[in-house]
Amino acid sequence: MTGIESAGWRKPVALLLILVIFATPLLAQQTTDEYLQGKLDGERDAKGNPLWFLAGAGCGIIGAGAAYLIKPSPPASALIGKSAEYVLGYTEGYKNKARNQNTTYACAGWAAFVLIYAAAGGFETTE
Amino acid sequence: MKKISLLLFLLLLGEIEAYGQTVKTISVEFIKTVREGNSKEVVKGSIYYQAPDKIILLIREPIKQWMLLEGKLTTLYYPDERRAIQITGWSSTSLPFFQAFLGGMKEDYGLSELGYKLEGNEIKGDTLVTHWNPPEKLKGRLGEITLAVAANEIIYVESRDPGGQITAKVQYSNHIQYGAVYFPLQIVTTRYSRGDTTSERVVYGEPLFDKPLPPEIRNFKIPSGVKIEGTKW
Repeated sequence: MTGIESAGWRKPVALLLILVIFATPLLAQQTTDEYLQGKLDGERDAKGNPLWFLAGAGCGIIGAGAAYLIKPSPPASALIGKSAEYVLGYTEGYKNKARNQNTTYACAGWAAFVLIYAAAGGFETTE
Repeated sequence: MKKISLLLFLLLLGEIEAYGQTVKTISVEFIKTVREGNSKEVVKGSIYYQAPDKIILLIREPIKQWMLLEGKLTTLYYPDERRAIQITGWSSTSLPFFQAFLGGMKEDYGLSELGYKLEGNEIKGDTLVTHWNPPEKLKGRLGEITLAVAANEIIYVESRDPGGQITAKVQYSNHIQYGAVYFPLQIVTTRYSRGDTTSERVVYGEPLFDKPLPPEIRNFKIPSGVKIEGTKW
């Protein structure tokens, strides 16, 4: 095989390698961007459930703890037509934000319960 | 009592209701367009419904995606990537834009059993307009719902916040009748929030009622060998 014939495959292989080298970080960046966008959207959409206010008022500190442990479900409609990376980011952002909101509502309910109980003389002790 | 829509209430609460047994299966094509500010998103695909609460979506644009909703489990599958995500929530998941299509199936739309009370009604031409107040425990969060129905077809629904400001308006048109139920083939939802308006338009086509679902839909499972990611809580 002559030198020219043997070198014929090298140019397309070199071009392919160049494409891979430049394309890979671009694809990785796009994946990260989709995850981050999903996370931002999930946090934005998670408004929390004000009914957790009732849980806090009803069972005090236990309600506040339960709120932190139970993770609210993200709305499926927000995931339609979205990439897998976006979905993972969205569920993470929604879960964390909604959990914090629910804990806030539960603690607010607990604080209201304490104030009302104290105002009614519930913490007074007799000696 | 004329049939009225529960759809906006479900949208606000994000809970799916078990629908009546009027229709066992539905297959329908859809195009969903959402506009928010300068952005526009278009999703095209097919929806398959199996009573009482199983919904499967086959999305073709902008990405190939399967979505299965059944009770508290949401499964997403990306066939081109051979990748799947499962989300198990603590409450049933919801799909408001499709609930708007199904809403006519439920007698009384379940408003009374959810605690909504009919406040009043009026007749404007051939349209019956009813006004509903939310249950007591939600009055601090939700305001009145207004429903307009003409000739058994839901025309529009408006929701308000406790202060009386309109938060969303849903307009229904191009109804198709199946049995005693009228299904809207076009639904336009406009949501208002502080300084922001979102518009969602869903156009449905080629509806099939009570036909056997395709086998690949009925028997959908994540193929073996596909890694399943996701969250369970």
